[in-house]
Amino acid sequence: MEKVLKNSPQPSNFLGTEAKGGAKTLPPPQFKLNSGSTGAPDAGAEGKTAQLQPAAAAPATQAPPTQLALLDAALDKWNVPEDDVIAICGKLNAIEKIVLMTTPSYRAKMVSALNGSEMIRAIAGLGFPLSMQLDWIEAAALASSMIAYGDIKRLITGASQPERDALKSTHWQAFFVNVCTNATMIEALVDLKFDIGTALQWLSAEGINITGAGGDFFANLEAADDATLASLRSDTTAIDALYRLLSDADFARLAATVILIAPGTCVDRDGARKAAWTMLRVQLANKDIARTTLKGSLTPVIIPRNLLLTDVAQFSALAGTKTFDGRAWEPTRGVGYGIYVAMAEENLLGGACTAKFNGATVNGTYAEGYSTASHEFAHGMHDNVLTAADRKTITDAYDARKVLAKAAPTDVDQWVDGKEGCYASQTDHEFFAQLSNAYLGTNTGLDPNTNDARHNGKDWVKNHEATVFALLERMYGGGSVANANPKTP
Amino acid sequence: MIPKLPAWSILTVSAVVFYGVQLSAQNPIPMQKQDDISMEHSPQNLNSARPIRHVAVYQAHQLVLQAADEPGFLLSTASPAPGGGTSHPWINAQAMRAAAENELGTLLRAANSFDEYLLALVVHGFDIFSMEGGAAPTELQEGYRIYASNQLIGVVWNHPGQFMTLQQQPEEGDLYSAFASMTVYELGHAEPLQKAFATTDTFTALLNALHGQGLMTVVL
Repeated sequence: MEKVLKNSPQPSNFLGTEAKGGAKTLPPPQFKLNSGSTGAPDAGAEGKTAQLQPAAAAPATQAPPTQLALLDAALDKWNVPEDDVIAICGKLNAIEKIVLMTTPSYRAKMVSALNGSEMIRAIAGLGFPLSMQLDWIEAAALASSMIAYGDIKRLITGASQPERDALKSTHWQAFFVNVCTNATMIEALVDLKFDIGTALQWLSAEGINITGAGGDFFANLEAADDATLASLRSDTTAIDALYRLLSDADFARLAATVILIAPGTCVDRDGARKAAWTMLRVQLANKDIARTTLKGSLTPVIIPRNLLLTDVAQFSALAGTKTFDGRAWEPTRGVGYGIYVAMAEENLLGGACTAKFNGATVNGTYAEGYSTASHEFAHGMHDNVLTAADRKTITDAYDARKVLAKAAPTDVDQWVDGKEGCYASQTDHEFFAQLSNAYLGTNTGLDPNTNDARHNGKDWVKNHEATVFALLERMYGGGSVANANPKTP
Repeated sequence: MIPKLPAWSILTVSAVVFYGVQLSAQNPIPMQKQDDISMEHSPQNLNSARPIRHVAVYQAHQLVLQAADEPGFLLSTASPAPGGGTSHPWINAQAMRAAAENELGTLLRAANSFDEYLLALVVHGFDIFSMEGGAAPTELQEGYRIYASNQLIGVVWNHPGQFMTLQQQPEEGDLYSAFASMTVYELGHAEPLQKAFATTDTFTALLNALHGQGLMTVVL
């Protein structure tokens, strides 16, 4: 590519109308380019051109010129042979590279001789710090907007993290904004591996504004109101960008923070939110599942311990009606209702439900360590997030277990909740949600139907339901929920 | 070759009136084996009706209930009461959609048998799907209710599944179609509906066959 000079032309190659690579109006200097040189540094060399001699005057016994000398010669030509310069740069030895890097005049000569693309090729193997490589490329290019991110991606990914972090400046932010499109800015930030705060700042400079940007991203999100979080959730561009920029753990944190609704009427809103977030971060550990959850509408909602389910707006339509098994909805403490999953504050934090229904205090207390919250959220994921193949895995495992359990109806080791007839044996949905609880370590207590002790822990799931265990491993990544439903009243 | 129809589908119907709409109900009668049905998608290998029916109930496109006609428990989408679940003498069922539970439970408490309950569900706008395996699709997208004149006689979905009547359900894998599922609500129409189900090879052809019988289909 021909480069249009943007700086003052260097006397050595300025020919009025001739640009680099242009018409050969003068004969090239008569230097001998010994391509067979080893490039070994010459201890006696004092200057870059010390070894250059006109070919006609070179004594027969003189050592061949160093690569640096050849580079000097090439750069000093009226018509710089760019490909030769690039080739010579690739042959410089370590000391010569240092000389090139630390001698300011070389930068000027190289910038004058090469365009941006050529500079990228020339410095590829020089071992310069990343910022210096980009500085030379930027200087060589007519404008940084003429560089595509793909041209420099290899330099970014090949650099060390300290070198990448050294680019955290307004100068390089502006450079990348000029170089990148919206799409490639995200790619660049993925490659740069910046902290999320800096990444969001650069995205903003690119014109991609994400809710929560500026300062501590997660602190901003945790302080945001429901409408703000809903706005972020519906911003697919932002979610896709964050999916690429955040680690699995941070993306799970994002998803947990964004999807949870915690009414201001919670008795201990901060505590309940933290407990719910902790649990959700485990259940959203799989980044792809977390993204599917974010892009869907599944929404956990905390039910304050002093309020009825139907006192909370998302469930108020159930007021005055009954469950399938004939209970009033009001005193129930966990349900999946459309897109909403109810999580009782007392189940998240322990302690008693203090809400009253028809004059009596609601009994919302489950066994210490048993989480209705993780159980209900597993239902929500089963119905809204898992793939058809995942659901088939669950159904097939349930069907197979049903056959075995019916053949051994008193065997308390058949189901995760005990013998045939237990809660987990009723449907594939309860089967999965209880296995999910067992995997997470939140399946304590006795089965309400059989009074059998529930099985709890990954080992039981692994040893008895291998295919579902594999699914849960993929979903939860080995995570557990510690201290669920921590104390009974 | 037109496959021979199973004997159970042309049995004499005893009609009952339920919720003001005439629908048919009868006791299950053992099905007969059919060896001469050769079309891959056609009903075949019919040995007997299932001793315990397992059905999925849909409200429009949404799965709202899974039920079996055996003693068991009533499961809500709500967490069970800390004291335990609710047992039931003739149905084992799990509600799948909280918003429908009030109506599903009300109809259940008004019914005296599994047959009565299924009839009540149909009359109140729900539809029945033959379950295979332990779970039913959470959604069935393309479905049509089938009418003879103004009488609702069945439902058909553009989804792989079985042919069944409210009263009898083939064993898993029998009367199976790779492209359609059908439940007959009015037993007197079981024969022509089963014939259409068995002798067509696309869903469009099946709908055309129903229309050819003078039946009307209304999209769900």
